[in-house]
Amino acid sequence: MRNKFDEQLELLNSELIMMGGLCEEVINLTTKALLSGNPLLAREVFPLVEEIEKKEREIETLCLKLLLQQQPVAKDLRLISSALKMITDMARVGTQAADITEITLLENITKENSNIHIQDMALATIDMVNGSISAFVQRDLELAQAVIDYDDIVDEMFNEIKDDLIQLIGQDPSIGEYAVDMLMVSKYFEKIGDHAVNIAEWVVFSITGIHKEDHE
Amino acid sequence: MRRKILTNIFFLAVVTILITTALIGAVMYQQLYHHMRLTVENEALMISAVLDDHDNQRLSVPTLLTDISRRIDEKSLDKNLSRITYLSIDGTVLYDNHEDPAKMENHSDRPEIAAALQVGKGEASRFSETLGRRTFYYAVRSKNGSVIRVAETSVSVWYSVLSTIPFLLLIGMIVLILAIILANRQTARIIAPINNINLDDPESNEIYDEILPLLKRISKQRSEIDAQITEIQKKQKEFDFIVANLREGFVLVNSHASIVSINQSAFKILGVDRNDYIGKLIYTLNRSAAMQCVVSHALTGSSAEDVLEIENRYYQLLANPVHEDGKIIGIVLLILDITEKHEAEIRRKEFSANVSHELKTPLTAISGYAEILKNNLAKPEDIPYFCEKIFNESARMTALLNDIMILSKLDENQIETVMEQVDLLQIANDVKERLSVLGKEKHVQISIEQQGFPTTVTGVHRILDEMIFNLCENAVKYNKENGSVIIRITGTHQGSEEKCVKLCVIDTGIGIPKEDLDRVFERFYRVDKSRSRDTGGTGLGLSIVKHGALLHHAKVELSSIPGTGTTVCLSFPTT
Repeated sequence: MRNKFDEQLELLNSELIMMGGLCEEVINLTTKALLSGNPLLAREVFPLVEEIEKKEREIETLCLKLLLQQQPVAKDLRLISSALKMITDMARVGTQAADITEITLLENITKENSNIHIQDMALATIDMVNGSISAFVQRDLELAQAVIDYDDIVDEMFNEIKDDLIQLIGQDPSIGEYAVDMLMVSKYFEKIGDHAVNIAEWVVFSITGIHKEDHE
Repeated sequence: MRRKILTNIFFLAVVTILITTALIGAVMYQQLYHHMRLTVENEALMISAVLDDHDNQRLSVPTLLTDISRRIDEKSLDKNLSRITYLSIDGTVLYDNHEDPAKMENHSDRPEIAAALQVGKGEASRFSETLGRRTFYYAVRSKNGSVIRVAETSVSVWYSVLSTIPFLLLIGMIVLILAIILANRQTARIIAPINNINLDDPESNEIYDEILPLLKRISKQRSEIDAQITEIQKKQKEFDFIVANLREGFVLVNSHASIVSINQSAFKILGVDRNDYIGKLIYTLNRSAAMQCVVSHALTGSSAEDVLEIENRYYQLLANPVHEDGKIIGIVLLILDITEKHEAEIRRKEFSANVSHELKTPLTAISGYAEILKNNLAKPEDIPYFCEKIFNESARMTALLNDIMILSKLDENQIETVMEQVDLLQIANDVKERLSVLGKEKHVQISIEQQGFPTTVTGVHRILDEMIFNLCENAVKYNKENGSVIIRITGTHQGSEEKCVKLCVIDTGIGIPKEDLDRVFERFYRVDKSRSRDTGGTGLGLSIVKHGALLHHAKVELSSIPGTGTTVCLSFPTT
């Protein structure tokens, strides 16, 4: 009985890592497509997002099965319940990456006219997602905390881009389409950063049993 | 062993006791019976003798007998006196010391009485099933014809045996206890030397002869096992050595996707510090979609491969399932660095795209003008112009195809390698001559500087000419107005200890940006794509220089400062 439980927990762990890997892949691809403006790359994003959603359902089923059949306690219960929360955030990362890609495919943002430093922000968010997944894989509290702290920097980046865009529109109102799309893209990146923070918080919870609200 | 010895001893003891008891019982019974018979007989004869003497006395026989038995009764401790019966001549019981004679029937038909009446004495023994007793009778006829009978009863053989059962059980218990103690002692004594056998060297032990064959077998098996272990260890070492020294990453994964074995290269490639990853999921090392894809594919039983990109390097993942008894027990995962191959492939793709593009441009022009001419749409005065255009474009195409052919010959080492002594100074002068027209057009001064002597190298004249011409042509074409080109040739005996002839082309041109320095030798690569058409190059010049240098084992050095000028140096080794 215990053996089967352990096996299922191991499977849950593996599935979570796999889903995290897919999230990283999708956001990498999204950024590449955005920066290069290559529609072929962009179209690769959507099947990946579907894959992520499939994984989410699989993990959800597995978690519920574990909760019902094994009635886990303590650490195991924490892992399963935080897994249930994490997959929601991971799935949201996927959907938002798909949203960014849809904007990319509108081709209002091209390599030539992109004078906004979205690249830095994109790379920062990628780092955050990578960090939160790695924190889960290695059960690394420090890394999780670093991801949570890094959110402020990404938020700051978003504000800078917003200010730059306002200035740009002031100088040349004809770039309206570009500016709005760029604003959306940067907002999506900012949201992805937030989801990375959520994942990191659940990683902290699964290790220590303390979620952020508990000590605030 | 102890149990077995114990059972044996106990069984032996019990059987012995039973047999002994039975035999002794039988013998004793016989003797007792014989003894009883004699006693009874004597007793009867004695009583009969007494009665014969007494014959004329006043007292009747029964009274006398009663008197005797009463007196014996008084003195004897054993109340169980022999039964004495006195019968008249016709068999009527006159006296019995156990029963009332009046109630007894006539005894003349009893065998012992009948015999006594006839021959003077008789004996018989009768067995009472119900009582389980055997009674022995002895009868004697006295002088007056009456019969005196004495009877003694003994228990049967069975009863005597049965009566010994409690004793037997007691003895059995004692035997059991003794057997246990004995068995323990004996076992300990037998086992002790066996336990002390030195199994490291079985044949050196001094022990029971019966065990020696076993020890010999153990010794033989031991040496076999030792040999096998050594063999296995050797193989394991070989395997470890091979895997550790593989430049490719090698990972063994079990059916749950956990790492069984992993080599140093894999750690390096996947960019992780050596940590205890054995037994952990492969995904903790790398969770990219490519990795997930090959691992999950391989776990379903089919080989899989994919390309993994880590920090701008490309790796090929090869996963093969490992089967055992028809089940998949794991995967062998190889990680190969294919960055160079990958880049070469991209370059090849670019090259074929470029070739077709470069060839198509002049052809479009040619076919366009030719079509106008064919349909007589051109004004007569324009016809020479069109013809010139067609001629120029076809010349361009010919030049391009020439370059491509030289390159492909260089590629395949098909060039006629007639190595001869070639004077670079002479070629340089030649080239200068040919470029003078172009130089005048662009207002570029071409000059030759010579240091040291000799300036001859071993090589193919045609290729060397092509290389130097290409370098100088570029130097002129990509020069500024009123710029200059210096061809500097340094002979063998000049300056450096290196035995080589050096040819440098130094221009004061537009230069090459730093990030493009690596790529200018690629086919069709152009620093400034928009300008290429004006200068009319094929985009293959430097590529030919590079391959020509390879053929001559020459070293190419390129240095450039954008806006100031470019220097290309060729160093030809001389033997």
